[in-house]
Amino acid sequence: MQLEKKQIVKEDGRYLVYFHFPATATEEQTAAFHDVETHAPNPLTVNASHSQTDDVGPNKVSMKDEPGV
Amino acid sequence: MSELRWNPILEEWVATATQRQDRTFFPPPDYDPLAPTKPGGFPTEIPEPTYEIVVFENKFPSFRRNPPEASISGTDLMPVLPAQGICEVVCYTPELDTELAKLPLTKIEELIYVWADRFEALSAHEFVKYVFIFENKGREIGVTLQHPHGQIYAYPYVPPIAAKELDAARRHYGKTGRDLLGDVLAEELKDGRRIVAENEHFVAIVPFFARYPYEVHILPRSVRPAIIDFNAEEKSALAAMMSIVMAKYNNLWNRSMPYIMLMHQRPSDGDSEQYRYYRFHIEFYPPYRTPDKLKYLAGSEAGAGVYINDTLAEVTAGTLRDTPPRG
Repeated sequence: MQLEKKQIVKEDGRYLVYFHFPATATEEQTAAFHDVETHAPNPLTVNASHSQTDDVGPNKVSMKDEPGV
Repeated sequence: MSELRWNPILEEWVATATQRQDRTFFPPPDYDPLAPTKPGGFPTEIPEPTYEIVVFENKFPSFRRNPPEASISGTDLMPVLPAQGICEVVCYTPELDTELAKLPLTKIEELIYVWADRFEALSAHEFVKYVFIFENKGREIGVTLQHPHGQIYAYPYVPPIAAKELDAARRHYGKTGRDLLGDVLAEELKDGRRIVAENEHFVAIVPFFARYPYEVHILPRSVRPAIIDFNAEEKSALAAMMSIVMAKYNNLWNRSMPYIMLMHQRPSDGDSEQYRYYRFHIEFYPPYRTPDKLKYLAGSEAGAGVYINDTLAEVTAGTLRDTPPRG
């Protein structure tokens, strides 16, 4: 089985890995996978204005989190 | 705060993770954090507009790669350590309204490749000693997100149940020269009453010593200490067996069965050759003992460590064996 993967680093330092299986992916999934690098957030540009919040809902950044590797 | 506190009485670590009190709790469908991010829509954990399978670090982890300083100093008797480790979330599908049991067989097979990838990737960290793959399914189990997903904990030590299994298997191997789980499987196959399903490479049983009424273990017929040890044919067979067991659960009472599903395998150090006395296996713990009665872990289980099973494994295995294996 052919498997491809791409890893990005989210704004808060956490990593996210996309797995792609060319044999079963839809056209939309294949396109999304190929777009991953284009849309990946730059790990070096954490927006300080997102810091100091206790509201840590999905995809919001809390600087209380460790930045990760 | 997240840290490890040593219990010298039971000789085990307890992890604290106070930040998990704030984690997302059953958000409405439009705010599903494990969905893809649609253009102009709510920004979820996954920035792309769709995906196949994704894995990411948990936003509310019990263990972190770079853990903060402990909130309190330990003592020689009761030491405290930073909770170093990794907690990952595995999203099986971009769809919210489905579950692992309803996914195509190829998708489950792909997931096995992803789990194997994560075992290797996480084991490569020097501080990781054990990779634990599991899924909590259903409100009764305590999940906080409906979206089909599993989790992986990369622990900084071998957790107690795995350590106990490994120790028993090591001692059995020393005495007999055979692997313990292989001997258990041989007895189950010889007896036959507790077999739920079998294929060329795997056997599903309600074990002789089941603690939960509908507990099922999936065992490989060959010695495979970790998920990375399966070849392509075995991965297909494992996906098929998982699919059969989960379909039987859902067909048992004609509703989606909650469960804890977990994988026991060798520690992440070394290689599989040095753990030839141990077999990878999957365990399912559904919390129900009848269609409307939960099996609670109460006084005897929680306080004494003695599980009281209200059923006989031979009976529940027979029931599951007679339940249709397709969704």
